[in-house]
Amino acid sequence: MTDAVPVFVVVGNVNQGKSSIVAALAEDETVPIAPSPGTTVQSGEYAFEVGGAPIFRIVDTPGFQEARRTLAWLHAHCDSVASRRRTVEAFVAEHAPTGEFRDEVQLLRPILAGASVLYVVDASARFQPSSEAEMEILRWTGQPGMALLNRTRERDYAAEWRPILEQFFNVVREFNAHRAGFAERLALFRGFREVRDEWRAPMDRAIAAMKRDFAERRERAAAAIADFLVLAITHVERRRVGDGEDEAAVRADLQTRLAEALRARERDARLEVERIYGHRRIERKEGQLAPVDTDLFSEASWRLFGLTRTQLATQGALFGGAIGLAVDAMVGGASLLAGALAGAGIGAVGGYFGSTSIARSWNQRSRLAQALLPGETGRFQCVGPLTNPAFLWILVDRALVHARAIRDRSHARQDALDLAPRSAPGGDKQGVVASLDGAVRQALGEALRLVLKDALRGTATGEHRKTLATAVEQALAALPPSG
Amino acid sequence: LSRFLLVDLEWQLLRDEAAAGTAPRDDAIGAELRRSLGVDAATARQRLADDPAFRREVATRWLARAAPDAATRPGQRLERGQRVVAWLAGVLAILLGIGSAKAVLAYDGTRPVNVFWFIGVFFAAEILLLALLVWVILRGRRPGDEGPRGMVQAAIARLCRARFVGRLLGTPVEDLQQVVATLRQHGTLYADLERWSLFTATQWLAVLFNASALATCLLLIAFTDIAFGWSTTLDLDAAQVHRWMRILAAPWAWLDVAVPNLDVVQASRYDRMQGTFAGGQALPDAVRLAAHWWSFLCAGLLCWGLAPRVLAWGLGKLRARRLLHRAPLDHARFQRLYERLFPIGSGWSGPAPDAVGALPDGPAAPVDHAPIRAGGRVAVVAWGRLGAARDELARLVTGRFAASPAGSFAAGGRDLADDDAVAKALERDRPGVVAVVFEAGVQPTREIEGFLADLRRRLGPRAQLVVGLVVADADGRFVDADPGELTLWSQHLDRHGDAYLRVERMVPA
Repeated sequence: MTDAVPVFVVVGNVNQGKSSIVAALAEDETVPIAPSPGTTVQSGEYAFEVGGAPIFRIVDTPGFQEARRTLAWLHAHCDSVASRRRTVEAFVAEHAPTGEFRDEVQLLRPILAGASVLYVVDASARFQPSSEAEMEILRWTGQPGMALLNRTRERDYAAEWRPILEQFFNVVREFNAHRAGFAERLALFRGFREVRDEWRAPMDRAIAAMKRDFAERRERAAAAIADFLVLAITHVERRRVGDGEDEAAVRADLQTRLAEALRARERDARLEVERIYGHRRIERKEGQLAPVDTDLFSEASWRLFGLTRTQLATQGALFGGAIGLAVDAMVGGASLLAGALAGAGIGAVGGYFGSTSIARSWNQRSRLAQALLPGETGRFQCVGPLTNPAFLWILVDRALVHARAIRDRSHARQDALDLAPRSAPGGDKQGVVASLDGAVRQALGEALRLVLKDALRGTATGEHRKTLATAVEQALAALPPSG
Repeated sequence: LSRFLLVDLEWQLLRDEAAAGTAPRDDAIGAELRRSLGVDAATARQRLADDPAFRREVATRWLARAAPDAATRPGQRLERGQRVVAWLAGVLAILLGIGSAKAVLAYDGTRPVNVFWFIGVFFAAEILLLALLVWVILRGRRPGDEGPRGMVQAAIARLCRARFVGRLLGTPVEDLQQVVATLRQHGTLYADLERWSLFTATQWLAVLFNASALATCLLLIAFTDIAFGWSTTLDLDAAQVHRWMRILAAPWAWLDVAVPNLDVVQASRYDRMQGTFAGGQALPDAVRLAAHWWSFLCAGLLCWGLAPRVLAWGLGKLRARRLLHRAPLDHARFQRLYERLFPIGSGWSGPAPDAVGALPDGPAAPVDHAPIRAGGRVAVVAWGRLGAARDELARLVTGRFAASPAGSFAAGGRDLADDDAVAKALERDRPGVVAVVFEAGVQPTREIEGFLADLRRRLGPRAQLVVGLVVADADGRFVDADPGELTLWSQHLDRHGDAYLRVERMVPA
């Protein structure tokens, strides 16, 4: 075991957050975690694999239940310092068949097989004599190890623990399983390298693979968001208008259907991003999220997500210009770019003063009908594509805020995902796009404009979707970890 | 794998390049393939690199799941279209065969049919084409040389721009154009397959042409009277012509009846100025001898026309099938597909949650705790490091329960024997209430439960055992642990169903 694949056994007293640490490190939200002690009843092995081959393993254990009794047994059966490890082996051999000291036997077995120790203590509790017994037992095994200071409550006795732990372990680190993002996990894995020299190379390989994987996930998440945005922007709701039917009522119906379709698409995109980051259980909490997770079309969404008025005025002008250009193209340039100029002006004014109409309504007489529905006859009414730049930025903002929250969410967390923007006086934007670096925001805006132009021409291309995905990926990379 | 399935594969890959949401779909298909093929991702990737048959298997299974409705793919329509074109071309070839045979065997009873025309049309042309065919096959394809394939593809590309073709095939013209563009992009991959497919198709038409011509010849010979002869302006005598005919008849030289002898050749020379045979035979004899030509002509048509075409058709079909079987399916788009299906990436694997954990079903049934009798004697056991502050805790607890002190003890220290001594002392003293106080953050381990169980055994079933959790605040004064911790302990100890064991606050309100 020591030669081939590094193995780290997570041990400690019960209810110290061992399984939370394993869940966070192994990015596995299915690891059983509960506030009550004794949730883990069997050791479980979690392997990090590259190309199907394990690089290192982490073993979660039930934890010490009778450390002082175990140590008393060891003392009673050991005649010299030289035979301590043999005594621990004898302890395991004697009690494994009986079921007595079941948990201690389970956690000692992999250590005796060569695994290194990850000793977890809850730094919100003070050091106790039973903890000393645990560390003494681990010292008797002769295996190197690392101590992790985890905190399950507000109390903090880390300073008291540290000098004690340093007497027993090569490396001592603090690690909050519930707040650990990718950077914190990586830092801990780097710490694993210090436990044993011969395990540096495989850990380096694993860390490199994790970095690659993280970048790939960001790319995939960006692609999923870009897919959603393209589908949302290009979405057109269409309905035939019957004889004597009121066009205004049909338009209202189409607006409702468009809103529902966008909600569904946003939900699908969120689920996909959660799936990419291995958060499959958040889906069942979606219902609970409803009261706190602001609806896409709520007033708060318009106020708190998206760009500021000034940013919108600039963007609005560019978007308006793009729409105008599309109109110019449809009339073969006969408008002498009047469409582009008028669109830019209207877009800038509309962007500054705001408009809550998200998409254009049109019928069979519209030029859009020729572009988007060639050959279509009869009376019909359509709503879409999305032409309101403010709304497009809200979509982008919500998607980025969600993706960041998911990216940084520890798999040890079991609480509901809270994406509700914090209401701020004066309506300050609480999303992320308003504070993005100018160049990143510009790239996003440019990509959105290209997709919108395609949507208005009815010529959606994969190339512009890729441009948008790249811009979203840049934005995601630029987002600092969520607080 | 068929050519049309190949078209479908290319078409679907092309669509996926531009489409949204293909990654989760392929992820799911990949997982399903791993299950159904019984391979893990690493093995699948290895086999995809080494084994074309495995690539074919994976690609066709993927297509069946990614685009399950074959009717929505262009391949089926193209197949139907090709069948129609093949039928039309076949009918044309048959008509041409019949027409050619009738033209060269046209006989109005005034002048005999000149066998040189027949030989020219059905022997010489066929031999020439056969030589050309052999040359084309042996020459192979030179890099950059598109040859007939290029022309056909260009024609198809032009056709695909026509809207009516799209309507006919029920596929957007843009899709067709993209597929054709893809096939041209991967020309080097599919060139041989296309060449041999085209070759097979042309040979099949030639088979139909020759077969219909042969059938027409036989029908005309059987049901009409045809006089054969030969004429030439050149200085050729019958012996020379006979020599040439023997060369042509070499493949069936063993069949005497189908090889014209010198008498027949001599007798059938026709002089158009005289309007009679020039062999010196009486006309009836000359006509009778000249009739022998028919078997030679039919054998020649069979041997130089039909048989090579049947052979070439068979060879082409075999070769095209083999090429199809060996289609690499490994260009960039396929590679991207395989990466999506069997990602190279890294990741974690672990046991099923129920294999390692036993999440509680919920809090234990609430226990109806007996009230603590006021005014009795309370003994305090301070656990672990609290042992040092046991007297202070004793004052706190007796105040909390308005009781009189019955001593303070320290347990849970380094030495297990101390726990035993405390239990024995309490057994002797028998106080009304024993309060065991832990420091906040200490967990109810089996060891602690064991100590409490030992106290219960020694003190009897109705002795009051009270558990408390305290923590020293910033000023060093003890306060109760937060309610959440007390609840957790309470739920944990309630599993024992002991009505005289309860968790209580230790600090007076």
